[in-house]
Amino acid sequence: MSNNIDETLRIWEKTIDVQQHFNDIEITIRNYALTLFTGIAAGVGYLLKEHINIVLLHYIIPSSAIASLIGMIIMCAFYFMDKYWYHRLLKGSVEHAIMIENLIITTHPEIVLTSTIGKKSALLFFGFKITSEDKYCFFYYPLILIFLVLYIALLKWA
Amino acid sequence: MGLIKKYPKSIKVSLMLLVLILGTIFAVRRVDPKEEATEKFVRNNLFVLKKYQAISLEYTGVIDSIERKTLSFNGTLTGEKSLVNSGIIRRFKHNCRLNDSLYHINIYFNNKDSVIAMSAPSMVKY
Repeated sequence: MSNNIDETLRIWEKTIDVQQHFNDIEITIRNYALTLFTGIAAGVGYLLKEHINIVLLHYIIPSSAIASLIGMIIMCAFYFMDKYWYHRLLKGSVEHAIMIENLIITTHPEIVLTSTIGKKSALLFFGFKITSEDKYCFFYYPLILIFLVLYIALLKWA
Repeated sequence: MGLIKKYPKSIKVSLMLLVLILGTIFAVRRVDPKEEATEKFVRNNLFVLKKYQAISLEYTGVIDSIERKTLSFNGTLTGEKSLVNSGIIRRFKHNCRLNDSLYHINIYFNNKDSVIAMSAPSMVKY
């Protein structure tokens, strides 16, 4: 019995390590996204200042607008990679850890880390419950929206 | 349930693509034939060819007979020298970059939207 519990605890520890690993990856992705956002925004500013326009089939395509469009695509790629790639893996490891914690709750009631984090993660915002799934909206949507608005504005006026 | 209500996930992507396509159709501009003609004329008549970059073209009005006479005797004009018989002549201010400095050039169009003359470039002073 004791051996079984020890093994379960080792599996639980390993599961927590895996959670940390996926969390680190997600944080790294968001860091890169923010760094690239700043870099592309600076590039758009420079191209706007230089006033470099491409004429394609009698239509004016400002290079700053192209840079904004590329920025938008890159932000969408980061969003996809974060939410639909690593977050799903993280969720898998979280569910696995919760399952282990439920198994050993009778012998080790102190091991409820994942369950507690899950309970504390959600927050109330103007009466709405925002879970980790919704938090992406607040991070990636403004970044994507800024590039979308920039793209249309630059196409019109640059 | 969180902040976002349940709906088909593809609706967000479809909506974004729709906004992108409609926004592009709404915002894209055709090249102004006058800007094209100006650029061609300046390139043909200025010797600073490599570092010429057109920026904008602003309409500044129709020239009167006094200006017309001044222009026809002004040695800085390029192109057709005699403007006396050219009908209505419209003056445009052309902002451009020459050798990495900002200049403006007066460009003169006849009523057929052809460039007939331009002034010497004058450097923009801040």
